[in-house]
Amino acid sequence: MSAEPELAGARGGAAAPAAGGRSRLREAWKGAPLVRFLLRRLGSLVVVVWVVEIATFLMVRVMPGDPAREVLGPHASPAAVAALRHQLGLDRPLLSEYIHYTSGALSLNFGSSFFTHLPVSAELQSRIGPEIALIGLAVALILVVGIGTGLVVGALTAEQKHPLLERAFVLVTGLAGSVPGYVAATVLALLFSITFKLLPVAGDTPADAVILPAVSIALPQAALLARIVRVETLGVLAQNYVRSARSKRLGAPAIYLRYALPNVMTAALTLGGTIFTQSIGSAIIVENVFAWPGLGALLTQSVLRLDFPVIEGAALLLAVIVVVVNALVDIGVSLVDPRSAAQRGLELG
Amino acid sequence: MSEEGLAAAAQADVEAADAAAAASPRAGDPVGSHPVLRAFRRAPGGVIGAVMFSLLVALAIVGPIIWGHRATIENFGATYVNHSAAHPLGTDSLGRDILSRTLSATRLTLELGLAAVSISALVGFGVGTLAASLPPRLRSGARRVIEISLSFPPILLALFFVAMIGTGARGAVIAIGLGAAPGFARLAENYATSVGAKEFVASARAAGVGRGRLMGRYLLPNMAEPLVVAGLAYFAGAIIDISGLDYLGLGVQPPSYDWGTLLTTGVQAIYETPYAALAPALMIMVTGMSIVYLGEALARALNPRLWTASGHARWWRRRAATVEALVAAANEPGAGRPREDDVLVVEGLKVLLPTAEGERALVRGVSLRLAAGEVLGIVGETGSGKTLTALSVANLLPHPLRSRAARMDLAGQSLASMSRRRRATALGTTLAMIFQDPMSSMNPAARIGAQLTDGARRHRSLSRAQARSEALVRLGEVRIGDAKRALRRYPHQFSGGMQQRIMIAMGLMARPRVLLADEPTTALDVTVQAQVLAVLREIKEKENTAIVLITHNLGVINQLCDRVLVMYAGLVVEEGTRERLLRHPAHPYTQGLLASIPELAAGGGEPLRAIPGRPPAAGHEPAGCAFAPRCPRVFDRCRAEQPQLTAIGPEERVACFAAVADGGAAP
Repeated sequence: MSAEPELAGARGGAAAPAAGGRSRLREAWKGAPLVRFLLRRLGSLVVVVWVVEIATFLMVRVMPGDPAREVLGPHASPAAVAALRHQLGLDRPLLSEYIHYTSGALSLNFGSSFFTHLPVSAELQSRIGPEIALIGLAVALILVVGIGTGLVVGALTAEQKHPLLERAFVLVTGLAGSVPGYVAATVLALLFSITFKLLPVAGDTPADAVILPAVSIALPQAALLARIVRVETLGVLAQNYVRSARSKRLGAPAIYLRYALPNVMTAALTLGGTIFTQSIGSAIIVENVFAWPGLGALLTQSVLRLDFPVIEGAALLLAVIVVVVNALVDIGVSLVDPRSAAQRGLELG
Repeated sequence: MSEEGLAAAAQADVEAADAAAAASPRAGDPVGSHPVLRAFRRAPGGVIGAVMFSLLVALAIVGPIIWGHRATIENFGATYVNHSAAHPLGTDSLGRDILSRTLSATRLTLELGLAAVSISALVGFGVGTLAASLPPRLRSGARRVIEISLSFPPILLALFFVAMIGTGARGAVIAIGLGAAPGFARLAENYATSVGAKEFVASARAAGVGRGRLMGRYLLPNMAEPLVVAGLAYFAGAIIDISGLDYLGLGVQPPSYDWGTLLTTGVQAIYETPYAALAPALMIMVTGMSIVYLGEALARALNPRLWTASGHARWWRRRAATVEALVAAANEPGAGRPREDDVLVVEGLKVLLPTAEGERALVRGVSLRLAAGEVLGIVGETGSGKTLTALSVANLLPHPLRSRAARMDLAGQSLASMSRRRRATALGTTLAMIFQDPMSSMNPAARIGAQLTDGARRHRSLSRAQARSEALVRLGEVRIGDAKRALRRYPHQFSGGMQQRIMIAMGLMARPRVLLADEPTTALDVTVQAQVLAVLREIKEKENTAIVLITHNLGVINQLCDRVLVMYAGLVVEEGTRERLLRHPAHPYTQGLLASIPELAAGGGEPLRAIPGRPPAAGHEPAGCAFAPRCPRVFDRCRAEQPQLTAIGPEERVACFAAVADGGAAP
């Protein structure tokens, strides 16, 4: 008896064979939901970046009042205002200006800062490394601490064991989760660098200087993730496949590491995009506290000074980073979990 | 409430999973406590949150009236005071009193947060419901736009808006409000779509109710609760975000002050006057937490399924312990005569559910014996305790169920007398269990190969290669074609019948002497059923494995079993060889079961009968025979006295006064 026909080949994700035939391409398209999903995801990524680009272009054009007057202040001469309007392209028709702006953006040319008169692209370039270092460390901390704590506490509090631990966990994570990033940052800065003189607070790039801002960003989010992971762990531990593992008497370490963890991970990684986005958001403020030379600090300074070319460049770059990372997380999750890839493929189709 | 909750849940189904649900914390509400106390015990955070929030609102109203004037008095003789009788929390750079400023800033802070969340709610709600009322094609486009704007951090959106609108309280409020609007929009769109799909909305639409009225009359009231809960969460977020903008110098500008500006100026002088920063920071956190707790409690109150009560669990356990002392080890009569080759002996097994009133027995004393190579069928309706019996033998009862038995021997060794570690090894090497739902019983995140080999590698110390080659053999035995490829696949890539056969192969990897199969064919169609049964028969014959086959399908029993146990309401009511039991059932319940099955009903001409009535609620122990209310042969003694299992033949026993009186008459 052949078992092959029973194999649910269409659901096979990456393993699905591209059947040969007259219209190979068509078959492959139908038979490879993962490829289809990747192409779709790429397409929507391009669209989103485009929409963001239009939004940054429109910012100066639809804002209430005259941007040039806002920048130069009420005492500037009409000639200076007109010159700035010309520099901003406000005196040209919208469409031709948009084409001009877009071709600039595509060649990474956003003009020059009103204040430093340096090209915006150079400014951005110097900021991107520190930004990635900070966000990367923060996200890593969030994932490791959040998943680790959540899993351990989940395992300990399953089946209503250790009710005191459960209460303490809910209280502590609730507290840590509601501390705004800048408060955590201020308290940490005080505690560690000034009182204990252990870690540098501000500084250009000594490697340690990244630790405090990263911890400030990570703390509230790790707490929230730990809560989510704990509940997720409780759910996973109640699943039938954990009962199967128990019936094989694999022992607690194997059950938690090989049966619970991978299934909890899928759920936690699905949140990866949100975690990253949130980290970018809280970095905007935390970078200012620690004078970390990231994109968020640059954006805030530029908003304070109404330095429009830099605002446009920094906002666009941050948005692109957010969009690209979200897409990568999605794709990553699909590769880890073939089922979700197929589902998404169907869902979007 | 607790009574009904338990009874209803128990009635629905008492097989393992549901028994655990029936024991849900609701069952344990202590009787007679004050409703407020009970609410507090259920959600202490919610009550604290509600009280704190009310105090904050009161402070926001009276704060500026009482302390507003004092907060603006400048005193250049007393700047940067850290702590004094007149200024408990010190003064700022202009000698203004920090305490007064912090208290009177409550109003502006809450007002700005409220304004921002109102903007989010109005814009988000408008956009969301509008999106939901669009035709499907446009709706999915609108949904994508909402999703996209959600993928940006709100503070980034807010900065973008601040750059356009300008700094200051007004700009900050609008920017934060708009930044959080996408979240609201998605929520509103989700709810509007799901509520809109409900029947009453469809019928209203069919009745010609216009779109505007539909929204106001039908959709809004149904969406109100979740939106209020979400609104509270966004309110807390808005307060924190606005103070974040203050911190960046983009928010409230002097001489106005909210907690964010107080915090920012306080931080600049944190060494001289630490309270100047700590007081507003504390207020922001306290406000945030009180709102979050209030929201959680509200969500919980609206959704009883989220009620937790870890406290109750302890309370039950204490109660259960006292009852436990009273429940002596069950002393049921032995199950037939002992045989040398018995691989599994169970006597007087009880499965107990701890409740507020003490323990309830879901299985009330089951005894069984199983010889090598023998197949024992256990039949009975849902809720008769078949699965619970198997799970207790395998030591896999779900929390909080517990089992107690006078004797439980596996391969000649008493499980009760073993240490935990030895019991795990004994169960892992001599016993395997096959579950009802193969899809959910396999780890979705691991390949078949890993799941087949992990048990054998642990208990039998096989190498990876040895385990793999044995797995290939086992997969061949259960007729999985291309086993090599199957090892690399994930469970979801197989059909239901294949999954079930893989489950069996997984069980066989332990080389068990006893295989517990819980409804292994229930979800499968008839041809696949036949394949699975053929595999089981082969195992029994080739490897002399003893099998316990749990089913409610007498046809399956007929194909495979040597002996049969019939269970009803947690008790064995009849036991016998397959031929005897299927041809000449003694117990009226067994007779009823047989009569309800077409291919087995005796004599072609007799009409099929269903057994009237329903089985008793789980854990409800009647004084007499549990089947009495449904029994055609019932008489007075049945209602007063519990019939015991009595031998009516060499292998046959029955728990029925009428059947015993017949003397096993029938053959």
